[in-house]
Amino acid sequence: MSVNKIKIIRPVSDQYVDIPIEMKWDFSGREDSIMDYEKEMVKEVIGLANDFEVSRFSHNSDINGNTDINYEFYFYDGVLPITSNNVNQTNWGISYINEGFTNEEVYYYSKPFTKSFFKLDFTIQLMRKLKKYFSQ
Amino acid sequence: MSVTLNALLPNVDIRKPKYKLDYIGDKEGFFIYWLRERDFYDISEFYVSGKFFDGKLGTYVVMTNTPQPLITPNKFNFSPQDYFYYKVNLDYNNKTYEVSSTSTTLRVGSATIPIRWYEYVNP
Repeated sequence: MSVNKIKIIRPVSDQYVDIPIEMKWDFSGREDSIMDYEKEMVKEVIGLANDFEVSRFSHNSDINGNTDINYEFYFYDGVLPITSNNVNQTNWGISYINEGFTNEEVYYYSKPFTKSFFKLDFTIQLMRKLKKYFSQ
Repeated sequence: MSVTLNALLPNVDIRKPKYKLDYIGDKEGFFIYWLRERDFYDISEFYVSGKFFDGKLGTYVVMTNTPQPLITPNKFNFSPQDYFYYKVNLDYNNKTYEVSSTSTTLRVGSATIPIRWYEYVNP
């Protein structure tokens, strides 16, 4: 009886296939690398170019379409000591007289009166502390 | 407001501490000028405090957003963040801003609900 003499043996170890890859250094792309490095160094030395242009923000219109913004400043009349329990909201009024100006000073536009002004300071909140940024 | 000193002198007009600011008329203080891009400072929320410089005394008068008797828990001892500021929000897309109360969070500044500042008096 004739039999096949080829015997197939299952390998017990992992098999590997070697694929040769050519590792060859050339100078292609070196110019790009220099440009990238140049950009990086410029950024490191002088920082990024920032846009410092300012815009004019106006008051947003309300539900009636009005854009006006209204301020009222109230001064304490000093009739009662501020510590008094009888002091109430009516002790504050829209009048420079409450602040200590006399009728004559107001009428004649005295210098202390005309040199007085209101000031609004704009700040941002940082960890419950406020840092001033600009004023009006 | 027209002020009379006596019958022999003509009246003069002075401005009461009540201001209506808009595009036309009294526009000083109406606009806010701020960075148009948010790259350098990414800020859209400001807190604004009010002061009055008294040219007679040479001192600043600090203002609160609430009448002092109504400040809680105590009219002399309270959280400054709640009573010395109003909040201003910028809209970078529309280039507009809105003001709201720090205590009630409601929008203020209209003719019916103006931004009210009250002199703060130390004891």
